Amino acid sequence: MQAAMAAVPPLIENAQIADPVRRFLEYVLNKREQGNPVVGVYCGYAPVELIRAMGAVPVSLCSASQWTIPAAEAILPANLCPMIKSSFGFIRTNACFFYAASDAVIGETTCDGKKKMFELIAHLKPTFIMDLPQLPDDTEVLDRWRKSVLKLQGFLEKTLQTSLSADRLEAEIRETNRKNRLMDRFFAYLACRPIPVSWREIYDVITLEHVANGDEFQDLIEKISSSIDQRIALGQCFGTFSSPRILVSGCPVGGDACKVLQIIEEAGGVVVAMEACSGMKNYFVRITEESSDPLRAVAESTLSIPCSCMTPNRRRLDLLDKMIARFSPDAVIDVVLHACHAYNVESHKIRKHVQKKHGLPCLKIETDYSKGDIEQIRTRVEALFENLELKK
Amino acid sequence: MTFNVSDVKPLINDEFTGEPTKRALQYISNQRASGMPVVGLYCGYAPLEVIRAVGAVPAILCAFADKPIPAAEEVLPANLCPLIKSSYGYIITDTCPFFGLSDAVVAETTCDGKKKMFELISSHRPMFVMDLPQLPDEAEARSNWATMISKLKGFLENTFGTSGTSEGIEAEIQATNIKNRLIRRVYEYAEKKPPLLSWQELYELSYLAQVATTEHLLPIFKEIFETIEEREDKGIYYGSPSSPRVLVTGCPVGGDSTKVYRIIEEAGGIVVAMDACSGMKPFLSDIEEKTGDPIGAVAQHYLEIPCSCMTPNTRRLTELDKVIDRFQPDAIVEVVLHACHSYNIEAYKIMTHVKEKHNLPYLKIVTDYSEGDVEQIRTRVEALLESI
Repeated sequence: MQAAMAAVPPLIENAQIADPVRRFLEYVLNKREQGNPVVGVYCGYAPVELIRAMGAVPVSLCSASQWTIPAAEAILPANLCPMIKSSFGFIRTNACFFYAASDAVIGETTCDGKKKMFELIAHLKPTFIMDLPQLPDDTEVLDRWRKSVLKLQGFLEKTLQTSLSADRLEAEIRETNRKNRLMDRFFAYLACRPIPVSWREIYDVITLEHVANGDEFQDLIEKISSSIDQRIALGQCFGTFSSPRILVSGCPVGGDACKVLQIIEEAGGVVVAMEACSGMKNYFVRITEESSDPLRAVAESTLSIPCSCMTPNRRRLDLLDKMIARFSPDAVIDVVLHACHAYNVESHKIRKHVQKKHGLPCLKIETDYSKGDIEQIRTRVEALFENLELKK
Repeated sequence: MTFNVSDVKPLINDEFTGEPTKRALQYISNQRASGMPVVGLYCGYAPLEVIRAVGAVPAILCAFADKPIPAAEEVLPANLCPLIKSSYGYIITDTCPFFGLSDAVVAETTCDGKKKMFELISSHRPMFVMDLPQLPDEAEARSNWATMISKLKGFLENTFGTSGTSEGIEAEIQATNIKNRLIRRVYEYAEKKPPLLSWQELYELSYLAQVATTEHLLPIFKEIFETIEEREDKGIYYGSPSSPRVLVTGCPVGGDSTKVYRIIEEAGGIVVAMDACSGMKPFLSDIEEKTGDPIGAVAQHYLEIPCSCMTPNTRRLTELDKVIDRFQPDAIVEVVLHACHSYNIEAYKIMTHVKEKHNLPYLKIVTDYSEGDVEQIRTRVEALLESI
């Protein structure tokens, strides 16, 4: 499948697209040199519009490498989510550049492991933990979360010696909406059968979004769109018309966990949608513009993220319904990072829903960042694809 | 480990000696037969005073046996806390008599596993899930939790068609305080060297005291104090003066996980204090009385429970300091139930604190409800006690 793509020109002729992490690094360095403070974040619940509106740069901290896990396990239990262990290991070994560059760090009470891991790093940097309500349908929940966001504002004002204007926040809200709408233009291509882009390219575009403002991202999306239109015109595609189309759901999949996406590809499938917060979930959010209370609008938008830390998390089922209707997958693969109880327990509901409502097979893959289970995952993914073949 | 004489009169001297679950079941069945609704609970954060004030009787739901776990694992992941798997298994196999008697269930967002497991049982009974604040030191935590408790009260009133008043909650607060003070008086006899009580007796008392009203407990307490004073007069004690004293902290320990207590005893130690919520934690403090805002007072009290689900859980260290000062343990054993991330990660802090501040040996045991690790735990506990 990679060979088939080799002749296809890259989405954009830009040396840096080959190395999006490097581009991200340069972006952060430049911003810092210009005097912008850097705020490290671990999760999609961190309100980035607020951070940006205060003149700071939000950066996702390192969390997806097997390499830092042994150092973490000297203190953390081995039976813990690899993302949490890796995050902690990066800090312990002083190996996360973004953490080193951060002037402040934001954490949330999204899960037991992160919540308690944050306690072990809170003394190293100014760290603010947001108490995330867990019942998204409760009447008081928005007020409660708005208050947490407001307290974050106070923390950032104090720590970064900066202040927030409502106009600036409103502008950042519009900027996010604009970028999310642009991203949706790109996502529209993923609905094509056969699909004209690879999962790596989807990730490249997502990474580039993090370092682009609205105008830059508009340029980028226009270039990308014309490249893809050209591919379609030339009949260039990823996989074939009959390649099994896979929607990947569940825990964030990045860094060493991308092995799952790679295996899907090697087994002859194509990834047509990635529901997790490392993928597309956050771009489906729209923030209310021109409300009387932009902080509340930001709080409301983050609270609508359908993470398994919420109970009940009905919005995830709604989102899956929409994504299945739009991207027409042949199967759903639910990736659960080892010992992530929330996604692991919720997986039962997801499988039932996907099977009963959509008649699609659903495969749960529990994995970590090691290479040890690659062949086992391959066998299961191949078996899934063979079953799809039999049903045709 | 035994008492120094034979035929010692049990602390709670009835037909249920050694069987706290059966005692509680009979108590709750009687209450229900008299027309009281039953509220099933899984956790110490459920505000008992409010449940009682609306005229209901609390029941602790089954969560401590290995037996229903295979049934649970058909739906739940194997790599999950045994307490959560057991709870769920009891329900799907319809084997928890307390759940059978419950007219409603109260649950809390204490941990990832429970929170998501509750979704799978919410259709079985009217259920109320309480969104528990996780940062207890924040200014809003108390008012958020008080709002949740008010909502719980509304849910119970609607479900049972009863109503609770502020005066009723205030009366329950005062009743809880009387009960807690009496239990703490019992603990004084566990402080003695050697102690006058066994861990089984302390465990049975905790179990009953969470379920029964103060009014019903008063005559039992009267007998308990007579029994203990008699022991004191006669020089009856548990273990021997040279037995290493062990404080057990961490996750709730009950049913099949009491294997840890047994192993400690078989290795020659005596369990003098159990600081988990299955032990002393619910009884160690009082609720503020006559505040004019009884729900606020209840909220404050429950938020102060030093469970590892809180961040940071500094109160656990200060409470632990007090328990160490009182019970003078020679070693600390921390029990972490398999895959309980919050206690497991917090154990690092506890270990550091216990070693640095108290210079006490510390052993963390990660276990579940199976028998498979008994000999492994024994080896480690023996090594710990030998080092004292």
